[in-house]
Amino acid sequence: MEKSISINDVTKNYGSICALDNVSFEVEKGELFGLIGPDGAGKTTLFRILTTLLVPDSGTATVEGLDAIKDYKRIRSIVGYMPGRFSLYQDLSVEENLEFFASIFGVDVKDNYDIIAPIYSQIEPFAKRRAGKLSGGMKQKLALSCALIHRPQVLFLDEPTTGVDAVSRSEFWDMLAGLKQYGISILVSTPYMDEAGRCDRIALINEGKVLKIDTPENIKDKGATLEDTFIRLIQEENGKHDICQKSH
Amino acid sequence: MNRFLYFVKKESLHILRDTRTILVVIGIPIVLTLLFGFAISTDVNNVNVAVCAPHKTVSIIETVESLQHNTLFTFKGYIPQNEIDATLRSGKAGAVLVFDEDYDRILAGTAGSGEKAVQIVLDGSNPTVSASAGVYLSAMLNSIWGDSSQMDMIENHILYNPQMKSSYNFVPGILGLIFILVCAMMTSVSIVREKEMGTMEVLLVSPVKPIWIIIAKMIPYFVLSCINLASILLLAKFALGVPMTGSMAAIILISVIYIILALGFGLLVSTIAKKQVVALLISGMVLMLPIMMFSGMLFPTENLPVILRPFTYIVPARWYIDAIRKLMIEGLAFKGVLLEIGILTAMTISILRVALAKFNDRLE
Repeated sequence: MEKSISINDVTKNYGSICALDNVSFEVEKGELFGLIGPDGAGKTTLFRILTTLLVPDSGTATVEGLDAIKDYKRIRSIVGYMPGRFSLYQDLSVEENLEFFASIFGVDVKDNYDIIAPIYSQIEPFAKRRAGKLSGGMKQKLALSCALIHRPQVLFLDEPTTGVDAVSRSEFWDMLAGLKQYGISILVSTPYMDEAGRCDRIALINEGKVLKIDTPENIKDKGATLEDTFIRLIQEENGKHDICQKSH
Repeated sequence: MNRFLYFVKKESLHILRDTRTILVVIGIPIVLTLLFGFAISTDVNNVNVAVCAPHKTVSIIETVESLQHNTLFTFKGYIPQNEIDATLRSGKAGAVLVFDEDYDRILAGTAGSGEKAVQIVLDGSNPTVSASAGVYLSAMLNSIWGDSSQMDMIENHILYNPQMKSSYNFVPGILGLIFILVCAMMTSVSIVREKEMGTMEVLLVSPVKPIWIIIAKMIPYFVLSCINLASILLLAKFALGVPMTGSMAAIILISVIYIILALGFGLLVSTIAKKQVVALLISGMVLMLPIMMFSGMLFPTENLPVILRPFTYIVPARWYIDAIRKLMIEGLAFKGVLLEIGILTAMTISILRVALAKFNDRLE
């Protein structure tokens, strides 16, 4: 079966700083795949390479079989992307934001309303309100609606729950689970270990290296929490010879 | 096409929702035009003149009377000889007219030769005012003395702006400045804002071609600039009385070219700047200063040191302001500004080409 996302030996340096070091993994079609790692682990860089905003120094990446470098234009029309700190257009209303993002993908809000209905219906009473006046959780819902309105085949969510309250975070993950029925592959990153359990599979990433990939249950050491396992893996990695030259 | 219109609508909403900015953008040109036209003026009016006369003879009183009737001067009264210095120093008067003791005899030609009938003492701390006041006063005296004048008759004949109204000169300058302000500054800030807010990433990861993102951003500012053009032209014509005898079609055409050029500058700045403040500084310092200094807006480019003069050729505003002066004040026809139109068009095309080439459809 063809993979939704496939990353092979991708390396990316910013000057002497190594953001991604020979990263490889694959995401199945319709899978909810979590990228778990602390700030500065390289999550955002990986998202930008997959969404064709950055070109890797070496290695290849494909999204739905399309090459992230050569076929970047075609990738751009089949993916949905919610960057970290994505803040919508604060001075436009909820409705206007949604209509605008629908229009840039050439779709009509009405035609694809079904896919966003479970999410958007919660903020619809505030349709005329400016996005800047929404609470953090509502902004998140609106941003997700905007990323979904064109029925993307793959959804990239970069730290969508950072800075959102616990209840909204939990609701957000319920929504992602609800998207399964549409067969959308989702790559989501988070620094929160407790959210990892909501994913089908997760990759632990630190300082540009993928430490381990497995289901949330299998990835844990026997009797340990995910956090303990992660810390053990990082320590183990630091003990090894560092291939990638770092300035700090 | 529908997609593009949505983009334009969104950009217009950004502008319309920001009431303060739109008031500033529409209001500033009007305020500047009126300010330069009426309030700030390099014309010399109402020079305060004091008179020092040892004897108030009939002819002296007549001369002072005509001084009082002249709108260029304000008569500040008679002062004794020893107060001349104090009067000028205190600023009570900008000029003192000192009549000789033998005024009548000198005028009649019965005094010894080489005697001066009148001395004009001027406060030179403001050279513009004092030079004009001196010229005005001698001209007035000459007209009173008539035939008996012992001074050379000087005929000044000034073309194009016979009253030497400075407001005429400022209107083209304001136009040159405003379009850079509205187009370059606002466009660059609005593009960089999207980069800062992270929305540019989303726009790039969409099927929209980056060029359309840019054009859609430019259209509302283009419309705003046209509103500014109209308001300044109307004010110049009806409030300031600028003649505008030249080709109106040429004024509009060259302004539109210049507006597009300014938009191109804005785009170029936005490709360099990563923060709104930087965009603001670049368009403020790097674009505005040369316009003020090298375009002939404030002072003639001929007055610049020779070494700086070549710079004026690469400042688009210089060509624009020159052309607008020719059209508005000298009243030239279309073909009088063909050179300027050609140069501005070439500049516009090259700036847009560089800016579009630099505009990346990725992040780096």
